[in-house]
Amino acid sequence: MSAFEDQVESDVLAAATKLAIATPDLAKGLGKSYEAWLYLRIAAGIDGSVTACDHQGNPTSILILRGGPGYMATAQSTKANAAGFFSVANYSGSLELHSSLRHRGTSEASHEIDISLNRAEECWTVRLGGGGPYPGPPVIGLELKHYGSHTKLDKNFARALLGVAMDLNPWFGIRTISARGPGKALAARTLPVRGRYGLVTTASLSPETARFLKTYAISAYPDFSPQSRRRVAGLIRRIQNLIDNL
Amino acid sequence: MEDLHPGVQAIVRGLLSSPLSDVGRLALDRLRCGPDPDKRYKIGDDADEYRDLPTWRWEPTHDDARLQLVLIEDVIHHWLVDELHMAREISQLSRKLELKVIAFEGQGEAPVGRPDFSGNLVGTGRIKALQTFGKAFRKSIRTVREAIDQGGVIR
Repeated sequence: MSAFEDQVESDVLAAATKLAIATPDLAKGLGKSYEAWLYLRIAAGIDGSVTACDHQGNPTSILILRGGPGYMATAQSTKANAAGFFSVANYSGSLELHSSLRHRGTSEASHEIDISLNRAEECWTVRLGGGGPYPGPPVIGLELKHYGSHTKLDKNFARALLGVAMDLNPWFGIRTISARGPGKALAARTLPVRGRYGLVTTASLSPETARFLKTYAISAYPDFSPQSRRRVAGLIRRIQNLIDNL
Repeated sequence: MEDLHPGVQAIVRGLLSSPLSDVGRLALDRLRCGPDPDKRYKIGDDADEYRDLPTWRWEPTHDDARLQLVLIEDVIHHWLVDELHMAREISQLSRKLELKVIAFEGQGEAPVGRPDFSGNLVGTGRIKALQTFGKAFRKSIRTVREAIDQGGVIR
């Protein structure tokens, strides 16, 4: 390697290291600030009383986010920086907005959901029971993928999200069950929707991925960045509608 | 990687060996794709699965050094613009939500005394640090471009 290349490499290394020291979250991998931004954007955008809380449910001005997939801390924990949440109270009831929370599936495996809106009652049951994953599906779950805008997400991401939705609620995707006797319908039952999901990404989707998600009623939000104000407003509206119709 | 211009290699290596190695991978990924984002899907019948195989080979689309520079400059520029935009918006949102600190678990953990949250998402130095990195990165790009123009580092 020439002295010139050596110099260029060490200049770039020094600049990047300096940035990583000032912004430690960037060194945890790309997408952490994207998750934090959307998490806050949703909290600030939905109606009702939204309060930042520490892991014990006390209002706080110091919000701690999960740095990676994590469980709900026990309410008894005295750890200073266990992850908190947003408490959301409106006429539909009490909900909690979490980041990177693990949810327990039917298989007992846990699955991280980047941003999830969950029922406060269930959250408190977990919290008071010593902490752990949230049982079952979220009210709304968003999977976030922060890539370069030139990237196209292939269908593996959609498959993974469908797998999570199915494990959290094996009835996911089944809307109606009907029974037919000889020559006539005997009964039909429409199942309540448990768990709505969305894939939010700065990248675009391949047509096959988009079709896959649409088939299973998983919302897709491609090319979604802080600059795309209309798309951001559309997602917040959609979340608000779902909350209002709970 | 060996197929890249040595100056471009030096820039990518600098990023990859730093704590921001994911940013280096972003640059490398952009170089792999070239200006045609669909290229990777045209390799085979089910190329999006092929992409995940460990045998996926390094195949830069462009061997022109100046174009390689443009591509990594472009991807890092967009990443920085996004990060700056998010930093500014997070700062505004924190005021709306009455938050003084937004940090990740483990950040600022202190064995004794108060935790140090200086690097948190609403820290005052965040925007400046991103801008400083942007300047330094562009300077390195410029240095390599000048060397290419002067015929100093041509493959």
